[in-house]
Amino acid sequence: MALPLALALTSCEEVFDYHPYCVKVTGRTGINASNAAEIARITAGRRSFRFAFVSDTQRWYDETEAFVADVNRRADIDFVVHGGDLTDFGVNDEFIWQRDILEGLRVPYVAVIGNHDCLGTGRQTFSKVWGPLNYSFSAGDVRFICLNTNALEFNYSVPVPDMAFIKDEQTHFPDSCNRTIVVAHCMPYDDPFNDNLAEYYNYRILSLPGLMFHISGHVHSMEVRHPFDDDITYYTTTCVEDRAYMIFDITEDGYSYETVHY
Amino acid sequence: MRQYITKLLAVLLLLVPAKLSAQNDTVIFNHYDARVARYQQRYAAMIPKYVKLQFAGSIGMFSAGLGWDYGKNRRWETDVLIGFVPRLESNRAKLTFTARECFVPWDFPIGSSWVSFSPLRATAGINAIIGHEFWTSNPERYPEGYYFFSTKFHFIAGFGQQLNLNISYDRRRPWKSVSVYYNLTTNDKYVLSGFSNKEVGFFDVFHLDIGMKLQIL
Repeated sequence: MALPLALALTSCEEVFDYHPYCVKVTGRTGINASNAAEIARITAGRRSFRFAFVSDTQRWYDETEAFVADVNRRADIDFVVHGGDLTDFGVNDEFIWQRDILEGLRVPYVAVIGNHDCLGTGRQTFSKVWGPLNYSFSAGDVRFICLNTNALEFNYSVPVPDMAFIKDEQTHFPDSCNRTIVVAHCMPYDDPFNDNLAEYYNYRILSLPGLMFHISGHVHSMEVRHPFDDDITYYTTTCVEDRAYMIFDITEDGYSYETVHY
Repeated sequence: MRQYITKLLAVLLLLVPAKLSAQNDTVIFNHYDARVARYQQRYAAMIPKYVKLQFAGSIGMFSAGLGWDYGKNRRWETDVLIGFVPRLESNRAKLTFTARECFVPWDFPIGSSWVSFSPLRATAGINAIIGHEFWTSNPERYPEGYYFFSTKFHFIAGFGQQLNLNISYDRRRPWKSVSVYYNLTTNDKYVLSGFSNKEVGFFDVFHLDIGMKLQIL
């Protein structure tokens, strides 16, 4: 009787489980804010940097760990952006397991919320661990606008995507930046997106200074889309089950991207 | 007339189950009395046999409920529990309901005849959490079959051990016997997460819960 008890008590920090949807966060919280500050610090004054874009790591813990190892192996990546769907069920422990793997990254990372992360109490756990669902940060002279676009999960109770937030970002655009990258879990006409707002969303982000491109996950495939026949390119990255991610190389006068398989 | 009544009584007594008349030791006069006796006996069988209290176990921080044990040596138990999920970092505290089956196949006396040890208990059940953010199947707004699971319900399964203390008749106050147990319990969502992932270990999937069974009947 004592052996399994002793094992349970020593080998795991969370011995007792109250409920899968009990929001019980131990360890690091408010990750996006502190990591964004770190990203701003290491890229300050630069007009070129490289970041990795990974998404949809839900329930692929081994593949996520392999992704972390692959990024850590490289020396040319300044930071990582996660496109959401860290979890499948929105269950508390899924967030914690993912966080604990991603904390192994040697470079700072930020994450946006995915539609699966909104389920049950998931949006509350996400807010606690990573922070507000809409946020922005600067990397060199590029402003990253990170948005919750999972309208289907919010049943029109709150504005998703939050146009007022995007407009406010435009109004209060920092002087140190003159280019913009938009990050979201899903893009216009994906299932969780509010399609009625698709064109307005495109118009709104097009108004952001020097918009470079839009990146999202959700679709579990690598795609380059131009849904509105204009200059805005929407890139999607695949899920980690495919053991792949994207690297964006931001240069003084533009950018290039590549797909990495590991 | 008297002879007629005697005959009628004899016939009635034959109709009444032998077990019933032997047990209750009452004089059965007619069909109605027999029916009432059967009726009360049937409902008496539904009176919960014990109270259970539990800490943790994926059904709430604290759970309390009632249950029935039955079968050979009363090795099968059916529990109904209400669980309390504390607010902690969420918007509010929540309630859950659990229906659970336990199977305790053996108990071995240790030391005195009043203490026994059950080296295995196996449990399986279903839990429902109450709240507007949880659904049984995908609400209408989703494309068909969008999520394959339910956020309101989850299945639980576990195994553990228990220690039983039988209280001698003259010492019984509220309880006939008291058992304390522990389980290592998991649920469908943790099993799916642990499946095919080396990163998710046994004690990420299985968690400890402890509880007690207070026997009334």
